[in-house]
Amino acid sequence: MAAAAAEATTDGGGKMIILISADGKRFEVTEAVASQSQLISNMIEDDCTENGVRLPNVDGDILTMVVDYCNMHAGDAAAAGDTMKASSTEEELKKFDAELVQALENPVLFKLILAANFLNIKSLLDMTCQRVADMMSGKTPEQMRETFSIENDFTPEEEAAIRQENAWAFDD
Amino acid sequence: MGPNLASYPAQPNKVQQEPDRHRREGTRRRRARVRARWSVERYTRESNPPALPPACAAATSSSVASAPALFFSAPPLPLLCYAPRNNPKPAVSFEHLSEELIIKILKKITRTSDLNSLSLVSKQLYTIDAEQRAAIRLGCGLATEDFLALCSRFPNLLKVEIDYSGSTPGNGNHIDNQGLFVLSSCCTLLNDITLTFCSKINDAGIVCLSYCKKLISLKLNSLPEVTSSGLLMLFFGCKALSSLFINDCKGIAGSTEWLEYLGTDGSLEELVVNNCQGISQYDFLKFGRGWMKLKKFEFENKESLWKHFGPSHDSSYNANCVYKYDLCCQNLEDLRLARLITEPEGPEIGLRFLPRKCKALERLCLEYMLTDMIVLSQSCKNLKSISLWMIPGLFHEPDGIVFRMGLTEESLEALANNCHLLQDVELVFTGVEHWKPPEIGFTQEGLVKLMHYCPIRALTLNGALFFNDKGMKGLSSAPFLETHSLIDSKEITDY
Repeated sequence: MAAAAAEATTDGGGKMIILISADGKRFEVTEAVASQSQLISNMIEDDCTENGVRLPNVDGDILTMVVDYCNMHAGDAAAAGDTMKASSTEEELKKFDAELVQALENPVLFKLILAANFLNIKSLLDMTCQRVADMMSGKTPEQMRETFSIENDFTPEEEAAIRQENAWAFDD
Repeated sequence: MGPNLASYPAQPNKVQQEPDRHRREGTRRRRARVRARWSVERYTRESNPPALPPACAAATSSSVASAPALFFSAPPLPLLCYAPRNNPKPAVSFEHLSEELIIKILKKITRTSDLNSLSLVSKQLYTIDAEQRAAIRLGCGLATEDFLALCSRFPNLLKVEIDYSGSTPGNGNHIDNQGLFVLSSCCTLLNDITLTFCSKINDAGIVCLSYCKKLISLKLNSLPEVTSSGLLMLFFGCKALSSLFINDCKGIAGSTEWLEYLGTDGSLEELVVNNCQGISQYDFLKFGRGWMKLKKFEFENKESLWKHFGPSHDSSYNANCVYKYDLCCQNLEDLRLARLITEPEGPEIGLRFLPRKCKALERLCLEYMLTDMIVLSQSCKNLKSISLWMIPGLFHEPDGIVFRMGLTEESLEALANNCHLLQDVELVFTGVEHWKPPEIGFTQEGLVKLMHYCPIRALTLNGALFFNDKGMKGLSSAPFLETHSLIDSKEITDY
């Protein structure tokens, strides 16, 4: 028992809390991992996490990703003391992040954005928004509409007028 | 049971069940939520033929003001829970993102062409982009009325660059004074303006920019019609100006009132004046108190390089005028002086005195002007980067007059002994084709020694024909060297 408790504290987290997804899946994480979410961090401060945290807006499959991400990134601060370890971890993290967003299908990507926004996890929100921005890069308006299933609500005349308006601005 | 999440910050795209929360939130959030709710509902009705948004036909593209109204004109919709448990879940798409989230994504798009494409995707994106666009860059070919439309389309612009370089001055589509008036009255948040080759702009246009009370950075490039009095009027209005760049504006001449005003009442931290024949180095002595705040100063005299080979005089020097050199420039970190003509032994000092006055100096670039490196290295101990462009000159030495470079073995030694932070050294030699020491002033051994004394990471030698394999070998053991660029150095072989 004592050994297990000691191990838990060296994990940096200490207390465990339970996150419950919209479809009832339960995730047990340390407070350190969970408090990367500003929302949960506030709840921990207010001492209202004892019976688990229900997240009615986040599905289980998305919460799995979010928990994976938070587990991966929880080491950030802990490893900072050891520079060698920190730098290798940084590289691993970058790889992990890149693989995470690259692989996402559109609906999952947007669900992840909504979850990151709801849970208020800034780094994850930044990363996923950046992915959408990158997906827009170099695309024509038609390709953008197609990629993101956005309906064109311009009349041809309106569209032509904006095209003309856009023509003068030259790119950098 | 888990805690009630309703006591935590509401997300605009989520439907909340608390009616009073709705009242507390601003119009914009409400608008975003109505839209999000509406798109959720539209999605859940997907078995019906897709109905066109009711407001689509109503809004027009050119009127930014009318576009937001489109969202209010949507009919009242029943409250719907996002992703209801029992119904099949809708696939989440871009349209489920709140306006805040779309803005977040938009801010990560850096290329203008991508933003322009985005504005053509849908009315919502057009409106958000128009509200959020912070910077535009214009070339030629824009009629004045189109420019007006543009200024009202992007009311929150912070940065505008108008660049007509490469187009003929007679071209009818250059923005004129009226254009600048429209720009400065529509876009009052502007803090960064660059005008390049705007041949139709004179003082009447420049003065309009004084409406931009938030102007922080102004770059004027090749505006021949702008004069000293136009600048003065502009600076009366723009109290926040902290960075001023003037290049090739021949109309600014005569009166130095604008410099005196900026020195007394301004808050300039960066001042760059290049190639303006009407502004002389002696004018900057009138900048007075302004020198105390300045962090960066650049002055490039519009003089032919040939003038530096023989004895010559700065025609703006007035022997009857008493020049005051008691300036205080304790914050200056970045200094570049180019092609100044001064008299090392005579009364024509000009800005030559400046480098050794700047105790905080970190970056120094001197192009074709002489300075005493020993005195300089003793006063500027924080130097991190030094760039010296040299041509040979006449020097008075105990055994007569010598024709050589200004940089000597002693200069290098003084740098090595005093400037322990030096990281970046660039030496550019002009007019020394077949020279060897002593004409060059110093030896390559002296240079190698400097590299070993200071933590120099980058060394650039341009036209250093005296530098050979032996010198290279010496450099190869320099402890901190990371980058070594050699340009036009014929003595070095592949071995």
